[in-house]
Amino acid sequence: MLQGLSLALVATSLTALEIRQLKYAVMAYFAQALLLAALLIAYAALLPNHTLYLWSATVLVTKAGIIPLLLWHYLKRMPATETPNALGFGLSLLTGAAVLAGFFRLVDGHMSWLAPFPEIAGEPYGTNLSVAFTILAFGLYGLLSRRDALKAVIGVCLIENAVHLSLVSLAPSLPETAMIGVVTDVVLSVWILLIIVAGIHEKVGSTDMREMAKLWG
Amino acid sequence: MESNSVLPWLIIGVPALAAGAKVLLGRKRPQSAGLAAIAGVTITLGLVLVLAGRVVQGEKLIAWNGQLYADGLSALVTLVIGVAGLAATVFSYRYLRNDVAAGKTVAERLPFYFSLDALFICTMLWATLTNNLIMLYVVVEATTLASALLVTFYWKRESLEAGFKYLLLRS
Repeated sequence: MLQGLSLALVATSLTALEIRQLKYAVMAYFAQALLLAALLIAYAALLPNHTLYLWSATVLVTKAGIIPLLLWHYLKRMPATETPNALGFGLSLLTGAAVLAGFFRLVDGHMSWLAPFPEIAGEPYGTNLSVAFTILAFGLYGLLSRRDALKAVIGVCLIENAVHLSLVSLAPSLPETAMIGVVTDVVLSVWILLIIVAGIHEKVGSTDMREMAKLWG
Repeated sequence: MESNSVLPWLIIGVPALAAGAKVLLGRKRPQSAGLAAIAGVTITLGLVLVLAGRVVQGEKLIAWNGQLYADGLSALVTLVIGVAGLAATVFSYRYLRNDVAAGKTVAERLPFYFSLDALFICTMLWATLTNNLIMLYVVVEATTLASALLVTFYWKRESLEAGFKYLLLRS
């Protein structure tokens, strides 16, 4: 079941990056946040680690609540369909599968080296870590390859989700106050990014990243 | 020798209060925001000098149950931030007054600038005084947010582009 949830997370991040209609991309991001909260509850019950329940609540409030609402609010002012990309869906799928397989292999062979202490070297931490790395790679890929500024913001959100997920494996004893601090930063930075993207749309008339090349050299 | 002190609290609190006060006061008299900013940063620099003086005599100051901690290195860096912050605030007071006269920006936006300036100085000082690695990350991120809004202050095409790229790289 955990593996299924983890793979669903990978699938939603691919969907959030690939769907041309921005409305559905935000919905995919929302679905991913819900899955992330469910996964954290599953880990909290399995491990058992009661701070993870609080983490899950934080994720539910911020990533499934505030950030999708912000994205939705600013989406209304933008064109409904994103700027076309240089790289197509097939290439993304291929890269995604290759990255996922690569990280599974890496984590499979070197978990004892990656884990901060030996108790958490086995499953399900390994799957969790490789999925987190894959979503991080997807977010970075989206940030670099998408031409729509709003898709770049979704890429940043994916990276933040991946960091949140990897903390379950790498720092499960992190106090809840620290988590809230980190998440507040994320929400604020996404908000400011969206304000800036809206400003760019107002001044330039599009959210195409290629239009933002006035400062080159 | 370690001793509890209210000084680290004050060093963070004065610029934060100044940032809030400028937004409230600046509504009526936007031109006065710059002078209030200079006053706030000067008080902060004075507090930093007191802190540096006590640290030089071998004291280590602690506040907020050990969440804030000032030793020799943080005294040095807070001193640098205080001096640079005061210089930048004094310079931008004149600079922005010329910009308002030249029509590049409007006087109503000056309180926003100076409160962000104070917030930026506050978060930088907090980053040097914090004693918690997670808080360090959070506060350094907060400096990015304040400075990203400062980068986009003119709200022109170039400044928006620069702010967007800056936030993507730093967040």
